Amino acid sequence: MNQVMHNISLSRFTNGRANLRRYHQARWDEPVIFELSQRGERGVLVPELEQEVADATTQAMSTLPAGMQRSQAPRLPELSQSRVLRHYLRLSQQTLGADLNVDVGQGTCTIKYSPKINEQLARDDRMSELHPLQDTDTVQGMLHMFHQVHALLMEVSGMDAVSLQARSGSQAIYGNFALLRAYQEDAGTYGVRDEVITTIFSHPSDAACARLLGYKVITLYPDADGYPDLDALRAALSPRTAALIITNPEDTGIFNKKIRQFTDLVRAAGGLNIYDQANANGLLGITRAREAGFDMCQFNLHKTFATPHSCGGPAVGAMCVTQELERFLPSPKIMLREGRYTVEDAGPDSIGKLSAFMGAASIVLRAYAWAMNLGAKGLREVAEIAVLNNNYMMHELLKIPGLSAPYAPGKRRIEQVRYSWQKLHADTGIRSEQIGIRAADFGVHYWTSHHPFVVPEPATVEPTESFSQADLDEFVDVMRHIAHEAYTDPETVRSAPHNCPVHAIDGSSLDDPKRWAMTWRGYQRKLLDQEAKQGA
Amino acid sequence: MSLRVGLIVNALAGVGGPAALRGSDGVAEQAIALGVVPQAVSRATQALGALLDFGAELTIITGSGSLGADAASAAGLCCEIVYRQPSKGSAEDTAALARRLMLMQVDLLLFAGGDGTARDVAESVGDAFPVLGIPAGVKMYSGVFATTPAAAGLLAARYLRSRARDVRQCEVMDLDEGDLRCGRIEPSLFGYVASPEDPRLLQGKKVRSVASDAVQAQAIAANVVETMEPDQMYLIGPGSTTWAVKQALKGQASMLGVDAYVGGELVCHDATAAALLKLTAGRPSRILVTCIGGQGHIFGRGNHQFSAEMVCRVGRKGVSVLATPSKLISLAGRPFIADMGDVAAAAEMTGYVEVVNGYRSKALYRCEAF
Repeated sequence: MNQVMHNISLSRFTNGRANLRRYHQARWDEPVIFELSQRGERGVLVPELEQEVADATTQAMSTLPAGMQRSQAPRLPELSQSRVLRHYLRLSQQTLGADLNVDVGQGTCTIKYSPKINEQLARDDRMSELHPLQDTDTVQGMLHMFHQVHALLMEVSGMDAVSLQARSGSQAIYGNFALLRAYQEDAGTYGVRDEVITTIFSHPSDAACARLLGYKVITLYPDADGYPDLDALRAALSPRTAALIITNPEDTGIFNKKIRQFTDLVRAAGGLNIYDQANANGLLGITRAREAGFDMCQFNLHKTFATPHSCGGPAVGAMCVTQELERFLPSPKIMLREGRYTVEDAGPDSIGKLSAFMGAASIVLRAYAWAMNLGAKGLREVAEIAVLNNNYMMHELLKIPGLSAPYAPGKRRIEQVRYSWQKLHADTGIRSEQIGIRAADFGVHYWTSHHPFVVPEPATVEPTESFSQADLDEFVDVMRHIAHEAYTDPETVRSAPHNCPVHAIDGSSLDDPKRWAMTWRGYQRKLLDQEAKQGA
Repeated sequence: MSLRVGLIVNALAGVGGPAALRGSDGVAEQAIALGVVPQAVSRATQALGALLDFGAELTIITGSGSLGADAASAAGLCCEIVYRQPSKGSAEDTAALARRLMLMQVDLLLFAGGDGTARDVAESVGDAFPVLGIPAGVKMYSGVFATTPAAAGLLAARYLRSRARDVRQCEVMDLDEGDLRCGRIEPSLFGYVASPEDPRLLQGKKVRSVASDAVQAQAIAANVVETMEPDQMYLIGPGSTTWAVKQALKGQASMLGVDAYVGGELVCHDATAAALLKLTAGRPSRILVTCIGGQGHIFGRGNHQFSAEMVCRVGRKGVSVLATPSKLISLAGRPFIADMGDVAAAAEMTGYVEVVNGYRSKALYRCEAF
């Protein structure tokens, strides 16, 4: 064995700067947990019940209605605790989790550090053992916290009222459209004003939620500088305009300086303005939805306010609205009356409930702890560092041959950039997705863009305030290395991954409605249909 | 400095379009008998106008008469004739002139025609010198064509003036016109030529639709059918996106022609320009077209049945473009192009046009017309 392999620090550093990692993901060939099940195996052996206890509990069971009682025990896997622990630890080693990699490549998701102390607070018995049906007198502290977070978001957005009911960013967008509909039904314009205007670079949930609530969607395409086309907006406005929903900055990281003209035009045409603030991380304490002319907005606490993304939830989408729209907010409302907090039904105009009880209270707590630790100045500093990090990274990344940042040449960006490997693809045939797969060989996560790809061969990078210069340099080094490989040894990139346990997956079925299935039932239905056809 | 520019005009290019004949190979006489006036010479003249500023420095090297000399003289440029076409011109003449030019040294070769002409040129000159197409044919799938005759002129002038003289390789594509008349669209690659580089003015190669676009086209079709007004006449142009609409309606439609519908029923199959004018006299009508992927043409490419008069009759607000989001994106921010060849129709089509791009989903997209 040579000297380099003996001395790990020699392979880790050159001139004091970290080398590319010789990363290799674990391979456990771990079966599905149901396949590990052994009949009769148990994690905890519960002692036999004493007769008196048994008598008491069987009576408790008999109080349940017959229709709610299981006739058979659920078919759960039967495993010892140590085998369960090993199973999940092994699976976790086959992922690129948030605490494991520099995941600035998951752009537009505002991946930042979720402080562990906030986890501890949320898991503290005094939080986790609360019951949503407890008497409000016993949860005054919790209600105070909700009230404080409302006040904080009102200050950050300039809006007059907040609801923390929605359990995801998309649900909050949906909630805002439900508010729009309730407002229109109240004004007698629902169905008359039935068009919602958005932009192609706004998040896909914006158009999707509008459509779910019965609106038709008009999409604006960017002008040559990457801004939404103001003249197209003028052409789109009509007596049928219900609202504008827009992201700013869009995922290009370009801030739309004409945003006030957009909102003024929509207002003059009789529509409302909805702001998708999923990209708020570069704007905290700098610009506000109110001054930009919006009637509603939403913040994703799991993005901007540092709560975990948690593989799809739980999360909180905070809906913020003007006074005019407050009466339509979801139920319940938290009110402060004579020094006591109460939880009240929101009244007849409310859109109703978006989630059970108060929403995801433990997430609100994490966001509260994060924001209160930073204070107003700290929140602004978050934005400033996020923007600085992004522009540093853009400066470094654009030195890589084959990579460009389309639109607004020479201008700085806010908190993220949607890059393009178009030139590299033209020169080498390597696509952005292939670069992402190769990046996993170095223990780095990477994402392209929402569909449809407006920017050719896209890559979206968002280095929030949480990452050090060394972290950012490591990501840039990986990108530079892969680009170099694409030009000199494209086969290595094309045949990636080489250091991961699962090889490249054929994703073609995702583009084929005949083969995709969103649910188990959907899958079975398609399977049965096919079998029936084959039989016939 | 002395500049030499080769010129080949396929005078019969494009005549098959207005008569709904899909192309012009072998059907030129039929089309001219139907009253179609050839446009290629005047289009070439329009492009050459941009080269007037070079004055005596520039010489056009070309063939006699309609092969190039006519257009060059009309544009006021001096020319040197290297090939005399026989009294009765034929398709072979463009190829013969191209071969003759191959022996000459030129700075740039301009040609006016369609994909067939591009093929002849590519086969004769290869990449011996840079080639730029003036759009004058029915089908123009090849990336060698500028978006408009004026753009071709402008690009040629810019290229001849520039120091760098950047070129890029362009595919020359063509469809078999016999196949096309039978309803098959399968462009084949016939070679490459070097063409002056100007990303804005050179038309991108036509992007073929991908599988998921077919699903989007179904969604667009559902939207169109759902919102059809009962008394209105719908004139639906050729293309795969519009084909999805035609399939959702009753009657034997044509994939490459313009079909007319009222109340969801086919009333005229594969109509000519004249037939469309007659059908829509005194009747509220709407035109549904698609845009050519990568290029952005909505009129004047493969749908010459929509005459300037017809477009003026329905107006810009009476036109819907059916295009999937990826088709719009393939334009990379460039506007739609309406090649009307008519001042009034061009003025009418300039501005924002409605695009149906999904179910209950539309966009407004800028259109430039000439």
